[in-house]
Amino acid sequence: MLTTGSKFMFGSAVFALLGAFFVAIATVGHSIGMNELVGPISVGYKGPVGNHFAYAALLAYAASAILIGSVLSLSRDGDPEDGARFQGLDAPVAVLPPRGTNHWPIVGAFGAGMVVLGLTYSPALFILGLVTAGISALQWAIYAWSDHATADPFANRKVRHELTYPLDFPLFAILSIALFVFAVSRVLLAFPHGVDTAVFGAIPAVAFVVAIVLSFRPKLSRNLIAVLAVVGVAIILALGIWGMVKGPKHVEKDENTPHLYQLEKPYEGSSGAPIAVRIADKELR
Amino acid sequence: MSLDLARIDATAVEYAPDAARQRPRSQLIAASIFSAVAIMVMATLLGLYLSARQTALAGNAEWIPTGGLPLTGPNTALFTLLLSIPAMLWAQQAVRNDDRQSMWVAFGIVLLLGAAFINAQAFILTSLNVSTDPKASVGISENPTMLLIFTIVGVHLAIIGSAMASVLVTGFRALGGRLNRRDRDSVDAVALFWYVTVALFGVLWYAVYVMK
Repeated sequence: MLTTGSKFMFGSAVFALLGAFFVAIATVGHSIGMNELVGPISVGYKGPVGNHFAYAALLAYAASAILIGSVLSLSRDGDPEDGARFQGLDAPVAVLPPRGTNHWPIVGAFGAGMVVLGLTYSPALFILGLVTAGISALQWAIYAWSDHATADPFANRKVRHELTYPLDFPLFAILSIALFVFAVSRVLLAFPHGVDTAVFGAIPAVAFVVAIVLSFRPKLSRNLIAVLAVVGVAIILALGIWGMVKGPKHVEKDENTPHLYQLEKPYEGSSGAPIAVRIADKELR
Repeated sequence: MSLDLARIDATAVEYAPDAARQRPRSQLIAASIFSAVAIMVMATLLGLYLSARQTALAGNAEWIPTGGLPLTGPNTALFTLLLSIPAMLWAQQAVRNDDRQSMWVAFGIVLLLGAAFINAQAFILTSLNVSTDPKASVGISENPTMLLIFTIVGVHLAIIGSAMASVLVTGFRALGGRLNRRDRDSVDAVALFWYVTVALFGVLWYAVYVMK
């Protein structure tokens, strides 16, 4: 027997198939004959199909709806009583709530943001975003698995740490240093002369002051320290992205200053034609 | 007297009570939704491809030159993927029999065939002799046919890659002893996604490589 959810999916699949059939005929562009009727039925194998894009999209929707409808029907719309019978139990098991706070979705969202920015601005940022999103997806999966690895939350945390720490610490250190250096370099390049010097001094000064304050409060909540670190990283990264979008400042060149390799007067070869001398990217004539 | 914290930690994990069972089929439904998304993405791209092809052919333009896309490579890729279906069915049957060793072997074969498929696709794309370097004077952006083929094949490779990653993660979960005949949701979910991925390549093979 079909369940309610699967009926909806199968019904919409039928509508999509009918729509695909009619859109293929209506857009074929000439008189309707046997060929035009057979075309949509045979998926274009025998006979023409009008608008290929609309036809393909509607067929794909129908296939997707049939797939989801079949799974819904097989799982009895996710009925817990039926699930219990499948598991050989008398009653459904209780729904397990998450036990801790998982911060990885926030990192994943940040990675997704970097991907979108990178698509419009920089391939390097795009790749960095993909790596960030990939790492957060992996860590999120490990967290979700370990959250219910045993019935003891302490043991679950141990299991998770044993799995992730050997990878986390070296990777985190490398990425943090690279990101910090890259972001600060973009900020310094974006600010005008004078301001960049002040920023260059202010960033380590702020870090130094925060470190001193933290050292005077050794029993500060770990959550508060984590929040401070996340906020600090977010500010640095946001400034770095702003610096990348703004681009490096324009530096005025003094045209009167002679170049190190500049010739005093144009040199003419034996043929009389002027020649060009290229040193690095400077072309001298 | 000092406490051996490492020993306490190890004991805590070793003697921790078993996890409570989870409700079944949530992963299967998630996999079916993800598969539907993959179908729609591929259909959109194939629809664009077929539409552009139809427009070009209606204007008597050449879409793919004669002999420009031989079928040997695509056929090899198709049959490589088709061979992975019995291996995936074997993995599903193995978990039903609580035979985890056979399931690892079956997953290993699926991953091996997936890697072979990627190799075959890489060979096909390389044999097209199209420069993907954006700085090239005549690159892929000047050739809409090749641009569409590279995009469609690239997206399908990404889907195959994510399916292989799912197989790998499920294999690791099996190593941890979490999968058995009553709790085999993730194996069924990853199998469903794999079958859809293979079916998608069947459509791609016909629409791009056979129809040309």
